[in-house]
Amino acid sequence: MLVNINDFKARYNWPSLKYWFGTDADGNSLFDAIWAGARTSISIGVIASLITEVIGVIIGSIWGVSKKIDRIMLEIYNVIANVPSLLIIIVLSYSFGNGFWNLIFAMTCTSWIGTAYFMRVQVMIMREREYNVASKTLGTPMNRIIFRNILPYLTSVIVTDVSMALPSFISYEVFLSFLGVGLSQNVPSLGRLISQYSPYMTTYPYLFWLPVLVLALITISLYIIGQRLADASDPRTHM
Amino acid sequence: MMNDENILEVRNLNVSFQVRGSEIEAIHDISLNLKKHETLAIVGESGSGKSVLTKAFTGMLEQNGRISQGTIDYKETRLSDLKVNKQWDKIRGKEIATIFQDPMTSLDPIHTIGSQISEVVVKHQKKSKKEAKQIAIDLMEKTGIPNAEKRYNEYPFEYSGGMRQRIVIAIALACRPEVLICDEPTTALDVTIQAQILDLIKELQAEYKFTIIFITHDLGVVASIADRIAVMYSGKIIEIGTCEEIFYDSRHPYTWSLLSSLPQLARKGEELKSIPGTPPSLYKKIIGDAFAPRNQFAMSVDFKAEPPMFKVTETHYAKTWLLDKRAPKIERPELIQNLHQHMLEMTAED
Amino acid sequence: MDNSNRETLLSIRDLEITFGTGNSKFVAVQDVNFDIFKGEIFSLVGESGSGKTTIGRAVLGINPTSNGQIIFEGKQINSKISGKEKFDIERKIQMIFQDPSASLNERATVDYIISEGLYNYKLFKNEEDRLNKVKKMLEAVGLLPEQLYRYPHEFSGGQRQRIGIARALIMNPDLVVADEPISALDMSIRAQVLNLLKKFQREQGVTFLFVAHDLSVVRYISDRIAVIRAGRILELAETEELFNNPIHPYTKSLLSAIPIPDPQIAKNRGNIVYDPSIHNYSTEKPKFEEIKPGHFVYCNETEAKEYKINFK
Repeated sequence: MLVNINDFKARYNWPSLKYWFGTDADGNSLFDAIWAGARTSISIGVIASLITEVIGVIIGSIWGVSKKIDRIMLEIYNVIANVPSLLIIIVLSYSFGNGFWNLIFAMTCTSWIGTAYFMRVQVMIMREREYNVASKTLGTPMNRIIFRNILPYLTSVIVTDVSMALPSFISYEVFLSFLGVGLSQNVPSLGRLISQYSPYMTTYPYLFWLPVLVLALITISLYIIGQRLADASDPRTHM
Repeated sequence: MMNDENILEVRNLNVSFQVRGSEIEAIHDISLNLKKHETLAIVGESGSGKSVLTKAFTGMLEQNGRISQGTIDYKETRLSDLKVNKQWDKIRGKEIATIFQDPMTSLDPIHTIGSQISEVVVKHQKKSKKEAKQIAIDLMEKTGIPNAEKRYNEYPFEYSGGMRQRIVIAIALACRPEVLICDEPTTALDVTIQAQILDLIKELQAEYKFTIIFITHDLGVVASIADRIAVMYSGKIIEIGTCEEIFYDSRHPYTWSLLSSLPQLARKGEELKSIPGTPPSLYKKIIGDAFAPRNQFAMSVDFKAEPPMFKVTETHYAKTWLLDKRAPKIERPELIQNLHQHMLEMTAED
Repeated sequence: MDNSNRETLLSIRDLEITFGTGNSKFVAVQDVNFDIFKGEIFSLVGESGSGKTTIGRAVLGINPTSNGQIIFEGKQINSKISGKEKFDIERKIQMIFQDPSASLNERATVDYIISEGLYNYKLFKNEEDRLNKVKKMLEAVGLLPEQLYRYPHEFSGGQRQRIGIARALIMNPDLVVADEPISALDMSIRAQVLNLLKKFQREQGVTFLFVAHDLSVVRYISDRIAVIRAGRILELAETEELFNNPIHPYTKSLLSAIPIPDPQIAKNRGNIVYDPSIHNYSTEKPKFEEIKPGHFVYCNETEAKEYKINFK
């Protein structure tokens, strides 16, 4: 870090063999910064998506089969779903203060309810299918019907849901860091880089565009991987 | 040049599908003449290729399917050469119309029944809207819809399954087709409705003089309607003859099995005759007679070479080695030997 | 056959089943009465919307009933019963479904599908015992033990229905409700499945409630037949009696609609179309009358007298 701060030659180098992504005003290698930033952003995305999906799938499955829970949960869902999720996250991260885990907590605090609602609908559609009626006539209890009959069918939609949640959490992080909330100052992230280099958009465009390009690549690849996984989890696709 | 008696001629037709990189043959070397004003029934199990065959007649093969060999001629037109939809539009519906198993697939749920019929009348018979409405109501009455005038303004969901099928027939007739393909039109219907629809099709044929291709998996249904019957197995026609020849004098063991497994022929206390095994997969290459593994009369030659079409009479052909001069003489199963006698007794009891 | 000393397994008394409430209330089944004797195949035949499937499902407790009784082995099962009793009955009454592709769990192996009930009721001593039972059952329905770890989509329609039969019959049920088990199958496969059901009845004494829309199919398989239309049973008799001496005009129309596989007869035969308005039930209410021993018809007094004279 900051090894080149007094080396003026190292400042604002365009991408070259030595500095693959070039250097910034302080002579820092942009490649290193993006490497570290991407790691933070992806970690936040992965952890937040996992938490959201695990809570969402568990609660959504119960929600989908129990009439009692359905009534209460629908009320809670209606309240939360009517407030833009970004607003909730901004307010929460302000009140929790900056920090890696604080940001994840702010992001997942209410996001699971969307997944849970999605799961509720899926489970409700599936549970009326004939083969579940068949399981019932064989004396199979509800929890096993959920685990053996319904969730295996939903793996592909769950994986698809994850593959969409991942990039959206990453973009939340980028957006919050851009605004200056969320992560602390010393934690590198793609959002922070984009925000930091946005003044150079015309003078040293590579400083701004390279992090944006990497962000786009990550988002698209995660999405493609998710789609492939979703296909692979459907046994009917392999004959 | 086409024979004057025929309206449709199929010569050595092969239809194949591209599935996961490999080509599978759904129709293999089929030749067939459709005579004017006759009713030809095509009977076969699912996967036998009976629907694929008729889809080839109307250019409705799926994207991955193609005619890989042979010709289809309809009157002066070589159907197997038609490529674009525009050419097909002159044939499909107008000359050759199809009625499907599920009437809902051919009806538009958001338009009234009446408007759907009169739209076709306006398009194909070049009539004014007002005339078309009258023709549509006439057609509805012809196809046995009570209170046609009132029901003209109802939607498909307000009709029962049998009534919907009548409407589909009315729409098909509105185009005045020469050939009507009925693709399992009664399979989804109740037995009493099935009987009524079969009667209706017969009556309408007598009046409008169209030619019918009737596709079904149920040999029992066609006895009352067919003039000729073609039995298909694994993409080939294995026996073809007049209705009487197929029911009273069938020669192919598969036809025997189909007949003897009909529950109508079952005798109290005896096991129902069934065909063991399942039809062959199209993915596997078949050597010899495709039916051989399920055939209790199979000879060693059946597993080695494909039998040719043997001629039984001018109208009756069967694709089985049993008709070869060298084959041992095998009697038809006892159950169907005296089918007519047996059925007379059964119906007399009722 | 004298039915008075046969053991009754299932009794349906004045059954009524309604769907919806208020204005959209719809009576699917009403005044249904019949008994099923131990070891017989009892067929319920009717067209779509007749309520035949609804009755079958009510016996399994899938459809709630609004009135009347379903009595199984002497105990009413459609009222409030304890969880344990319900669990017990669920094993004893099994079902074979109409559509073998929709009713099998596509994500489970054949092994799991057939063992599902065994797991729920712990009907095996150890893993080896369970596997033996499943393999024996597979063989009994005509499948191969090496197909045990395959998935349903790898089987043909007829084979899938065999899996459905295996999972129901491995429970050693007393009563099996077979809901149009062959209507989704090809003609040549139908006979195989019917023979299979008949075999289980003959060899293991399983009782069947066979629901069908086609009289020709049930003639071969059933001991007694009830004809149902618009939620009411119109006629009930032993199979041959029903075919030889149908009394109710609706039964006659159903019989006349059976396709005859004989061109000479088929081409010269007319259909009898049933017209419900021939009955005048405004002054004299109809009920289920025994016209001949064991032969019941839904009719009023006047009709009953007429039937009794005409069908002696």
